[in-house]
Amino acid sequence: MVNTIELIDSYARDLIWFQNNFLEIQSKFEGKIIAVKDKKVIGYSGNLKKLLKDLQEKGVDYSEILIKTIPSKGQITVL
Amino acid sequence: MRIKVLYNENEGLLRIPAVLWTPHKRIVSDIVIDTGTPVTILNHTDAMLLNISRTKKAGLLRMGGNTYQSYIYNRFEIAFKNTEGKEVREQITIRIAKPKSNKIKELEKLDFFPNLMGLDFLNKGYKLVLDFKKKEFYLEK
Repeated sequence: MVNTIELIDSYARDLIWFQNNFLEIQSKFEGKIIAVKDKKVIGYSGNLKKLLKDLQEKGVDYSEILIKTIPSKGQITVL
Repeated sequence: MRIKVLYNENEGLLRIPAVLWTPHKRIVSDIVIDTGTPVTILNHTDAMLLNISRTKKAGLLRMGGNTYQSYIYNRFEIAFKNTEGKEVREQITIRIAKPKSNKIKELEKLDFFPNLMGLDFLNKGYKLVLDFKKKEFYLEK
């Protein structure tokens, strides 16, 4: 099992990549759920269960990667 | 001790990478700082990934113009990495929002909400520094 610090470091690299490329990612995957590993989108779907199944089939541990739902263009997240 | 906060104006959210723990499972994710919410909220996707099922019914949550039933889960821990490279772990009671009906649209709307770090977390002795001019964003304890 990957230790906590390594896991956070790896996730932080992907999160920074996600934030820096957010507008491009949004234009390609708006409304979808995406999986990112090593600064690449390795899977996407409109349905979380389907995405998790696809990741499992690829041998990817979903608990150790970035998974994000991409809002539609023009949609601002007001919390 | 400081914990770095990641901010990028493209997305416009203040995110902290974290490992989320229950007694049975852990996942890596991130949590968005939201000083407008009094409680810390785990989003629908991460609650599913963590297989959190045994929760206690609590009050209603109003998010993004919709009202959701909230549930409390108190066997939850969040781990961060501080700027010295060490693990910082905090126990916190979280809320999970669930739709009041099984309508797919309500579930889909919930997927868009991130994990939210509320004032209850910051009130564990943290100082929040957001200096947009110097581009310095961090939590300090």
